[in-house]
Amino acid sequence: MTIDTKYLGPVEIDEKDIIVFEEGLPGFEDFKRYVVLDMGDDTIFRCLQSVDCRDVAFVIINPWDAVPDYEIDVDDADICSIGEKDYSSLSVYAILTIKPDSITANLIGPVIINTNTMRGKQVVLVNSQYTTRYSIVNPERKG
Amino acid sequence: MLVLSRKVNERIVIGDNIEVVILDVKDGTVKIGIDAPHDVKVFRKELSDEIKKENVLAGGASEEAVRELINNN
Repeated sequence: MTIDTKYLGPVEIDEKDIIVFEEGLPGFEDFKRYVVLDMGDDTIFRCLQSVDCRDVAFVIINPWDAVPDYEIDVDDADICSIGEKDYSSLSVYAILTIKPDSITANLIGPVIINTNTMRGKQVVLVNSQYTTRYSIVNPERKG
Repeated sequence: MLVLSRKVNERIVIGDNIEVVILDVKDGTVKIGIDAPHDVKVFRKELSDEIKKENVLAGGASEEAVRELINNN
């Protein structure tokens, strides 16, 4: 199927790549189906794009690409809410806030995705030292 | 909303598994201890509000700023 995307225009997606966020994302509770799209061949940036609304889209990164010593402790309850507890099938992304003069990453509220069940959730890291606005400067290119 | 008055060291029970105890009250700040099962998330409300607010900001990024970022990286 083809969806209209905020940053990449019309994109052909496979229905099996749709990730369901049962609770939506905080602030965007009505939107529950997303896909993760590459934003280019040579960039660490990806896009978490709503399947159902072009304008609901977030630039995301693998947090370790920008913060190699990033540490997270996700509650088992959160992990189990999107499938069996199997770390090998978990992807973690940080949502970026991009302004003309700054890029920050929300490191205290990462998005976790179980790639087996294709279910996702934005979690709150309780007792974390990080903030919603970790400044990202000159993130390295992928590869 | 249920409103209860409690003194220091007095407890409130919520459901079968959660207990809240008032540990200290000083200068307008209440120190609270919470015993809850691991699968019950307990955190400051400001934190979830902040994440929601940041999502709205992140989702509102201008297409121009994002395209520029991708093109320059």
